[in-house]
Parts: sequence; C-alpha cells; structure tokens
Amino acid sequence: MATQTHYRSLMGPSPGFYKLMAGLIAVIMLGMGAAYYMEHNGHWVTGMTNQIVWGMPHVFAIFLIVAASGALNVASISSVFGRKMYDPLARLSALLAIALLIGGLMVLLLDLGRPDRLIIAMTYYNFKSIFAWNIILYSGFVGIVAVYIWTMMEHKMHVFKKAAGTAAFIWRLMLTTGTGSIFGFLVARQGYDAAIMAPMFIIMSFSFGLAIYILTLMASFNWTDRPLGDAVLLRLKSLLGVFVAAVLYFVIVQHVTNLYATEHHAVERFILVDGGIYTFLFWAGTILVGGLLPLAVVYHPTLGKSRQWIGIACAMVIAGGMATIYVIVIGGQAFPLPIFPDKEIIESSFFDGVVGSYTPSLPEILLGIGGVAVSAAVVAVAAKVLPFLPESLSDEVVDASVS
Amino acid sequence: MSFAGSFRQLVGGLFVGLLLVNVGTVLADDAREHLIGSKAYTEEACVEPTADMRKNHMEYLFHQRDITLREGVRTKQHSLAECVACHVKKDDAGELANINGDGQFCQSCHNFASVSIDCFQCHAAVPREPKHRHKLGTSQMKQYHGDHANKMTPEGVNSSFALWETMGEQQ
Amino acid sequence: MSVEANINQYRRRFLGQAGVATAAVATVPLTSLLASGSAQAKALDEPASSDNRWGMLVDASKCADGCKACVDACNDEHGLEDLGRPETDAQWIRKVTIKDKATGHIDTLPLMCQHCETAPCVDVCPTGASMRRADGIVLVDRHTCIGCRYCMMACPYKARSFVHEVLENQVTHQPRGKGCVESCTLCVHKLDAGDGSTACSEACAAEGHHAIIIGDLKDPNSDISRQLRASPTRQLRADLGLNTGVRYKGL
Ligand code: HEC
Ligand code: HEC
Ligand code: HEC
Repeated sequence: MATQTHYRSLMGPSPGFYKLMAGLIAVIMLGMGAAYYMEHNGHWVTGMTNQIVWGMPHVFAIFLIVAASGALNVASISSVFGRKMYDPLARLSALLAIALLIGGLMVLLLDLGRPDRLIIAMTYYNFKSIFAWNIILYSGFVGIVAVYIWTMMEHKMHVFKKAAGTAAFIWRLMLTTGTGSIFGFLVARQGYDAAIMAPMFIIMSFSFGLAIYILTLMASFNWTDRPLGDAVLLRLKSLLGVFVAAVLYFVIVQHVTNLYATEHHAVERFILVDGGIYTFLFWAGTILVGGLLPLAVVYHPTLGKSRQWIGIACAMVIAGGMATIYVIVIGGQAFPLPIFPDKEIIESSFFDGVVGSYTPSLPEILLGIGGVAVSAAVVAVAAKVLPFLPESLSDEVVDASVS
Repeated sequence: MSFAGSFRQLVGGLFVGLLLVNVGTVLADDAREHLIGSKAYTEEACVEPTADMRKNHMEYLFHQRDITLREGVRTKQHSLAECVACHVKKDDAGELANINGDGQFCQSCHNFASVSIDCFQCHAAVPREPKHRHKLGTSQMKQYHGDHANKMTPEGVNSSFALWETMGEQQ
Repeated sequence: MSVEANINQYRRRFLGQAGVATAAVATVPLTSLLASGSAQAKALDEPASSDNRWGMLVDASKCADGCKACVDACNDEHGLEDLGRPETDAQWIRKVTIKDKATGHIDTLPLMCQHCETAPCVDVCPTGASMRRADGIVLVDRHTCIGCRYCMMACPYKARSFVHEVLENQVTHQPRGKGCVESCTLCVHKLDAGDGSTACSEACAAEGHHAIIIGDLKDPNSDISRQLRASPTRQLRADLGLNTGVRYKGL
C-alpha cells in the first residue's frame, strides 16, 4: 500500500532563504543594469556585430529554454510513464521547467533591438515564421505546465494529472523541436544545415535539464535540512548517464553525416580542426567536459556514489552544454557564408569570406547570468510559498511509497 | 486596442477637451501664436480641420505609415515628412529646431499629456536632404518641397525654408 | 475652415505639383528617359502592383576595380554614416572582389539585398516586419521590427545591417534608428516617386560605367528585360531557388 508523500513549503523564519534571495536579487539587478546599458547605448557596446548577430545572451537564453523542457522529464516519467518512485519529484520538476523558461525568455527579450516593442511581438504574428511559433509554444508551455502543477497539488484534480502530464510532455517535445528548428531553417548557413538539429536539441534538453534538476534537488534538500536518500539520487544519476551518452552519440552522428557531404567539409573542418576557440570548445567543452568526464564519474564504482562527485558531474554537463550551444550559435555564424561557392573572396568591406570574430562583452554575460538568477529566484519563491518540496526523500520514505 | 492604449486615449481625450477650452478662451485672440516661425503660420489650415487634427492626428499618421510601407502609397496629405516640413520652426540661433524638441510643435502637447512618441528616433525631426543630390530637380525635391522644388538650390531645405519665410513676411 | 475647403486646397496643391512634375519631365527628357526603368511612373495614391517587378542587373564586366561610387552614393542617399566601426556600421551595398578558384579570373562587383521572390528573411520574421511589396521590393517595416535579427541569420547574402547605436541627422526620406534591422530598399522612395532608378545606378552611370541598371522585370520592353534576354546572367546562390530580383552578368 503506497503511503502519502508529504509536501511542505519553506515555512517559518529562514535567514538562509533571505540571504539567498538577497544574493539572487543582486545578480538580477546587475543583469538588468547590463540590459539597460546595452539598450541605452545600442548593441555596439556588446561583442555583437553585423557578422555575429546573436551573441552570449542567445547562448544563455537557448540553453535555459532547452534545459527548461528537459527539466520536465522527471515529472513526465512519473505521470506519463507511471514510475512511482518519481512521483514525489514531479512538482519540483514542473516548477523548474517554468522557472528556466521564464529566465531564458527574459534574456531573449532584453537582448532584442527594441524590447519596448514587446506588445508588437505579441500582437503581430507571421505564421510562416518558426520564431513566431516558438513564441506561442513558449507561452503555451508555461500555461500547460502551470495547469499540470495544479493537478498535482489540488487533491480534487488528481484525476486529470495523467492527462495534463501527457499534454505537457507532448508540448515539451514540440517546444524543443521548435527551438532546434530555429537553426534547422537557416539553410543558407552551412553550420546549421542539418536535419538532425531538431532531435539533437531534444536529447540535449534531456541531459541539460536533468543535470540542473539534480543540482536543484540536492541544494534545496540540503539547505532546508530535508533527508535525501541514495535511492533517488543514484537512480537520477544513472538516468543522467544515459542522456549524456545519447547526446555524445548524436553529436558524433551529426558530424559524421556531415562529413559525407562534400559541401560540408569546410564547415566540419572549421569546427573539428582549425576553428580556434570553436574547435577548442567542441573538443574540450562538448566532448570532454560535457561528455566523457561526466560519463566516467557517473559510472565510476566509487566516485559515482559520492554526492559531491555527482554534483560535479552535473556541473560538468551544464558547462559542456553551454559550450555546445556556444559552438552551435556563435561558431555557426562565425563560419563565412558561401555566397560565391566557386570563387575565393579576396576583398570586401563587409567581412565576406572571413571568419567572424566575436568576444563576449561583460554586459552580455551579466544579462545571461541575470536570467539564470531569475530562474533560481522563481524556484526559491515558489518553493517558499507553495508545497513543492517533499518533506523527505529518505530511502525509507521512498521505499514505502514505491512498495 | 491595448489597455495602455485605451487608457492613454482616455487621458488624451480629457486633455484635448481641456486644450479646446483653453484655445477657445485664453488664446482666442491669437490662437496661432504657437505657429509663428513655421510655414504653418503662413497657411490657412492644417491638412484636416484643426479640431480633428488635435484629436486624431495619430490615427492619420498610423494609417499613412501602413499604406506607405505595405502598399507603396505615397500621398502627402497625412505624410509625417510633410507635417515636419510645415510645422518645423527656427530656434533663436536661426537653425531649424527639432520638431520634437522641448517646447517645439510635436512636443508641446505631448509633454503636457504625458504622451511619448518614438517616431523621431528614426524620422528626421527637421527636413533634411542627402548631402549631394545627384540630379537637381528630381522627384524628391518636388516630393518634399512641393511647389518650391523648381526654385530649389543645392543647399536644400534651408533655402526653401527661407523662401516661404520671406513669402510669409510679404503676406 | 470647412473640410471641403481643405480638400480643395489640397487638390490645388496636388495639381500644382503634378504640373511641376510634368514640367520637370519635359525639361529634362534625356536623364529621365535614360534612367527610367518602366515607361510610366506610378501616381502617388496608386499602390505598388504585382504587374511590376522591380529588378536590378549588375554587369560585373563593366564594374571598375577600385571604384565605389555606388557605395558612396547609397551611403549619402540614405544617410548612412561611417562611424569608424566597420563591424557594426551599416552597409546596404558593398564592393566585393572575387577570384575564380579554377581560372584565377578576378571580378569586382557590388553586393546588396537580392530582393528574392521567396525571401528567407520574410519567411522567418516573427512579426511580419520583413516583407515583400507587391512589386517585388523586399523591405523591413521598421515600425514593427523588434530587432530580433533572425532575418540576418537567414539571409544567404549577409545583406542586412542592424542599427547598433542611437542615430542623429537622418535624412527625411530615409528614417533609420537604433535597434532595427535595415537593408537596401532598392531606393523605393525614388522608384515610387517615378525616378525609375536608384542612387547606386545613377552614380555608376555618372562615372561612365553603367554597370547597374534598374527596371521592371515584368515589362518585356524594359531595358533590363531586353538585356536579360540577350545574354546569360546568373543569380547568386541559385541553388537555393530564391528567384532573386538582382541578376549578375559577366561573372
Ligand atoms: C494639440 C496637441 C498636440 C500636438 C500639437 C501634437 N500632438 Fe500628438 N498627441 C496629442 C495627444 C493628446 C495624444 C494622445 C492621444 C491618445 O493617446 O489617444 C497624441 C498622440 C500622438 C501619437 C500616438 C502616440 C501613441 O503611441 O499612441 C503620435 C504618433 C503623435 N501624437 C504624433 C504627433 C506628431 C508627429 C506631432 C507633430 C507633427 C504631434 N503629435 C503634435 C496631442 C498633440
Ligand atoms: C501645409 C502646412 C501643414 C501641414 C503639411 C500640416 N499642418 Fe498641422 N497645421 C497647419 C496649420 C496652418 C495649423 C493651424 C490651423 C488653425 O489655425 O486652425 C495646423 C494645426 C495643427 C494641429 C493643431 C495645433 C494646435 O495647437 O491646436 C495639429 C495637432 C497639427 N497641425 C498636426 C499636424 C500633423 C500631425 C501633420 C502631418 C500629418 C500636419 N499637422 C501637417 C499646417 C500644416
Ligand atoms: C525604427 C525606425 C522608425 C520609427 C521608430 C518610426 N518610423 Fe515611420 N518610417 C520608418 C521608415 C524606414 C519608413 C519608410 C520610409 C520610406 O520608405 O519612405 C517610415 C515611414 C513612415 C511613414 C510614411 C512616410 C511619411 O513620411 O509619411 C509614416 C507616416 C510614418 N513612418 C509614421 C511614423 C510614426 C507616426 C512613428 C511614431 C509612432 C514612426 N513612423 C516611427 C522608420 C521608422
């Protein structure tokens, strides 16, 4: 007989909470200040140019949005695939999904040339544009997941939990496909011209989202002195291992298939061999820090059982993920457009035929980190006022609820 | 229409009401005082009846904006470039003053009504031509300087401004 | 003053201008005829029509190495200023020098928005600010542009610029401002006004090169249509199937 899981908001005076919030608000203020600075002066004060039009803010935003849909995984496993053990983890998972999406969208919005025209973005739609569809997918995601949380929290709504969870699951697949397609549609740029982009984004979302989920779970249980048993943690980290391996597999497939097509040889060479920072980030970031190292930790007989190391593995997945998105977003733009495939460009005032140069500026990075802080603040405040976190996930409690 | 928009309309409406009362009473003697120094002062009327303009100029501008951009209609009656050309004034130094500058035509009421417009982030706030006109007497001159185009000099609008200014004095 | 009187006043003014226009055409028949891409100019209140398609033909064999009259004319016409920041300064048209990989033959040519029929920038724009007029001119409606720069990502020709700073001293017929994307307008203000030519083509002709001609691709009798029929031309990145309005000859 399954016992009831007890959830509890963070009641009572908690100096830790206020310290955390003070820190987050400070970071958010810095991010806002950076955004104001960039908007006030115009984008020339950033590293972005007419060659590299999407910079660091997009790297953060896309990472957060991709991770948002992945953060919902844990909840999906519980409601859609009926795994009892994941039930008590589901609320936090849904909350994290919304929070990450809000953080990402905020960064995206504040990096627009005209953020003051938000109302236009929401009232004028070009339905041919995958970008416009993404705006709809994102707002729909927040709505559906909010309803899903309600079905989980409100006893009377429990009957709809599976339906809402399934809807959210399908929506999140569409959302990540949409995000991936933003790049897939850019046929003119060789770095993005790959059908594999959309499924690759889905699998990346699984991995990034789960890594952030595990870190959030460990941190929140630690700070609120709630017991978190090995059973849950080890299960989650094994799942992470599978996702990380899958991402590696997709990355390899992407590049190997590209190597079949002669027209893509140059861009492949750029990423894999002589692209400078992009080559470095690919091998050191995506492959090593984001792939091989966390895999080694997760499957290591002793390290794989240490909480500290599991946390480090998650952090590595996140760092590697940022590197991967950086290579895709910035590297894909830096590689010159083939306007004259059969000619060599020997002179141009507009940097035709040369690799675009980009150095992220401090305000861009502050804006990105501000977005991360917004996500964290949303989670913290929501968990403070609403019962998102289970009182305990000790092995005994988890065992009892599963059996 | 957005909530903010309707709210502003409400405030704007109230304001226009006030202004009409004002104009009707206080400025009854010289309601055109604020036009002195602009070409408008030499003209009898605006492009629509004055009361209508006070209330609805934004609607005319928005409509004109859309038909010009989307359809390529280039009529002048509600063209923003024309508003600027007719309503712009010179400052104390004799230079054309930005029409959205403090105390200038487009700003005078907006300040009062707390309306802020972004049009002049892009649109020239004084008539301004490219440095070199490759062909004198081409259509742009006619387009932006109306009847005076045929008397245009390469210095551009300043001279055409001077032209109607003197015409104004003659009247 | 009554509405009617107003309208009358306008009618008078308009007729006056129309008179001047006729006079202008009569007094400078040579330039206007040479420059004119299509015989009849559109009336001010007449919308652009899909019976026309404005296009450009660039003859690379006539384009002179080291000459950038077209670029200077464009910058001047649209008030594009050199702020000494080449990576962020707007460039609507640029000169590119290319060398054939097989033969070593060197060409120089102007490159700008190619005014595609199926323009990727129009497809991807979330708000519909990137648009194509009925007569084929691809424009950014900067009243609805939110500055997302997705069109710049999508453009195969790198034809667009983002305004990276606050601008001042814009020219009247070409409003431009921070935070929006812009590109070659095919001098739409000139075409609509009946000039039948663009600043770049006029400047090129003034230099005696005549490498750029403008005209109506749908008018079989236009100069451009006749030239396109007479000799082989190519579209840049023809493999993308965009049916560009700008064609290159002598490449
Ligand atoms: C008689 C006073 C007055 C003058 C002069 C005036 N305006 Fe206005 N304008 C207003 C008021 C009042 C509103 C607000 C009405 C509303 O929001 O409905 C307004 C609103 C606008 C708006 C719409 C703002 C928005 O975002 O909704 C635009 C655009 C505008 N004015 C342009 C101009 C221009 C350009 C000029 C100069 C040629 C000008 N106005 C001169 C009173 C004036
Ligand atoms: C040919 C010159 C001319 C043009 C072009 C013109 N105006 Fe006017 N405008 C006038 C004159 C003259 C008046 C004063 C009419 C009166 O005394 O009743 C006026 C009055 C106004 C008023 C009322 C001012 C007040 O203080 O009550 C507004 C608002 C206005 N114009 C806006 C515009 C806008 C917006 C445009 C462009 C669409 C425009 N005008 C174009 C000549 C012009
Ligand atoms: C981001 C730049 C930008 C801003 C801001 C902007 N415009 Fe424009 N506007 C343009 C451009 C570009 C054109 C096209 C010019 C052309 O093709 O002749 C234009 C054309 C127009 C036209 C038609 C041409 C004319 O002069 O009549 C109108 C009317 C117009 N705008 C009104 C407005 C109004 C009203 C506002 C403020 C509410 C505004 N615009 C703000 C860029 C801008």
